[in-house]
Amino acid sequence: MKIIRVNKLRKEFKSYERGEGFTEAVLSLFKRNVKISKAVNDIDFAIEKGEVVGFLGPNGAGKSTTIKILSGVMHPDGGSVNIMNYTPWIDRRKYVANIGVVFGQKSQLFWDLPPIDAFYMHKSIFSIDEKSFKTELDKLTKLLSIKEIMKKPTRQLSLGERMRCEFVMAMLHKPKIVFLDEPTIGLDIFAKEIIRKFIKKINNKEKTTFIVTSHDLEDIEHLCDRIIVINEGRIVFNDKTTKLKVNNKKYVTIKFYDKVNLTKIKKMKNFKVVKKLSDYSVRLEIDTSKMSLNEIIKVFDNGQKVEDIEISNPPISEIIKKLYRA
Amino acid sequence: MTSAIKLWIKSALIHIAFRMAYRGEYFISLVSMFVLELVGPIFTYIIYYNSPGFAGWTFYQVLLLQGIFLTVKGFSFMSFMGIVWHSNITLQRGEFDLTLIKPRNPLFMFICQSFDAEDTAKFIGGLLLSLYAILHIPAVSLSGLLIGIVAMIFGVGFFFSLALFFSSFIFRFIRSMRVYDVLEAIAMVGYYPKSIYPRFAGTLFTAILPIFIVAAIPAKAIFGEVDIDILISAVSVIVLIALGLYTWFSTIKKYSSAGG
Ligand SMILES: Nc1ncnc2c1ncn2[C@@H]1O[C@H](COP(=O)(O)OP(=O)(O)OP(=O)(O)O)[C@@H](O)[C@H]1O
Ligand SMILES: [Mg+2]
Repeated sequence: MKIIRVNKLRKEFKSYERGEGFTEAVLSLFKRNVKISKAVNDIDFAIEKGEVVGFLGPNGAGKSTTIKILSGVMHPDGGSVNIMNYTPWIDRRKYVANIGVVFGQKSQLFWDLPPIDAFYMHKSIFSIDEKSFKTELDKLTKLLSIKEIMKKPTRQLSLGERMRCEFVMAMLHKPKIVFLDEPTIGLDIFAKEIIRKFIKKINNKEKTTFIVTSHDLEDIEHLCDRIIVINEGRIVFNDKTTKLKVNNKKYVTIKFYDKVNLTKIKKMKNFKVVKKLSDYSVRLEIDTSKMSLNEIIKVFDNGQKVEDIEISNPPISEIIKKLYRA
Repeated sequence: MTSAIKLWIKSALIHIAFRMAYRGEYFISLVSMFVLELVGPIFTYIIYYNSPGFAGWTFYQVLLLQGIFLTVKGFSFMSFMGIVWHSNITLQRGEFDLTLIKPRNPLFMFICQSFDAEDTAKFIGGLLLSLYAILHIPAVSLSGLLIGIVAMIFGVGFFFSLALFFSSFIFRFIRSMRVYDVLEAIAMVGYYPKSIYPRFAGTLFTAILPIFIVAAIPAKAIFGEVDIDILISAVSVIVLIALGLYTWFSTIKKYSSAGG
């Protein structure tokens, strides 16, 4: 069942260019140069109930803008969005009762008060009944181990501790869809781990749909069933995460006993030098459709003496980088 | 509706708890607010008791005027005037999104989020002062009292419309707290009765920007002087609130479609 359908979504931002200095500032009161940037430029996609989808893309690609439109806080300039039969920005009030949102850069907690106070406020805002609130809070407290944390004033919490509490805020009303805009920004590996496990568990148990943006490819790789790569407001890739890895490229890292003879290697057919790692080792990329893996050893047989050979998939970041450039 | 009232009470309590986080400071600021606000009436009494503006007013009538002014202003600043301040902070931090992801009317959310625990002192002080004055004014009639209270409610309405216009103004044009000073300055006009102002200003502040409904009109009603001004001002308040609401919501709509 499709829970989200997005059709030809567009959003433009007008910004006013202004020169430097005082004179320009005064002149701009009378005549301003309007610059239009297409933050979201004709996007189509659909998301199934229970999917975890990652939005990837370089800075300024339009990810946050898309999330804002989908979560009902921004009006688009064109196109349609249907989420659980709501149009987010039109049916906002009814709609947002069914979604959870975490903006990694903004806090929904109260700075001077402990998170538990914010949770109770949330209960009133979302009109959650006492029983359901208690069970949910109990469950989330355990999953995110915040029993002690939530009683301390928010300003005393570490970023990781605070972020766990932000997640509780997003989940207390049992949303069917959760939007996470850079939820792991600034967190260390352990905190990231807790958050990832949490998302997986909730997704597994309750079939909650998650939409996550992140610049951390590990987040995306570990969490997401599907990746949507956005670049300059357009979708450049939209498929299963595993599809992103399957291609014919392999990385071959070779370590020699003697210094690497780069000029010689560069002349070899079917190899591309990715990087010289040290005087003794080099990373190559091969196209397995042109050369099988067992041929590799042969190639080096009459050349330099090889100490070690390692064959791996190119990291997802390399693939993504190529998509960004496309 | 009940859930809205519950939420409002909850947020009022949260804001008081908020201030309690710095207990000592809150206590001091409550007391100093109280004292400062009481100095006002005394000062005014000394200066204006025999001034032409207050000609014909008794001491307790002047006191009542100030008491009502404090009550109405205190109540307004306590319960909703904070939205002006709150708009400013929210926009500066780019956090308006967080209001829109709540299944509530954004204006109501703003009101809940900006309850001002400090102005409770003004409000209570004003109430006490008014009561004290009323007890010393002879022959206050029940009908006069009722009309006075209704007028005070309209006074609160007037402040509410101001809050809407100023908040919208911040959304549309500037992020500046100078706006707050302007607000205070406008409010101060209502601290004195119509008779101290020139004719033109008197009409302006009755019909177009009905500031006298905040204190002078209700005070006069309570000690038995009801005239057409109360009706003119009340109508004007209703118009202002309608305009204010329209402006606020269209501003919000424009803001969120422009993307902040
Ligand atoms: N409120 C706004 N007013 C004007 N331009 C905006 C506004 N919000 C975003 N933009 C522009 O729209 C484009 C997309 O921004 P967006 O925040 O969606 O990018 P993003 O993919 O989330 O990037 P990042 O990875 O840096 O968070 C950018 O060029 C940005 O400058
Ligand atoms: Mg972003």
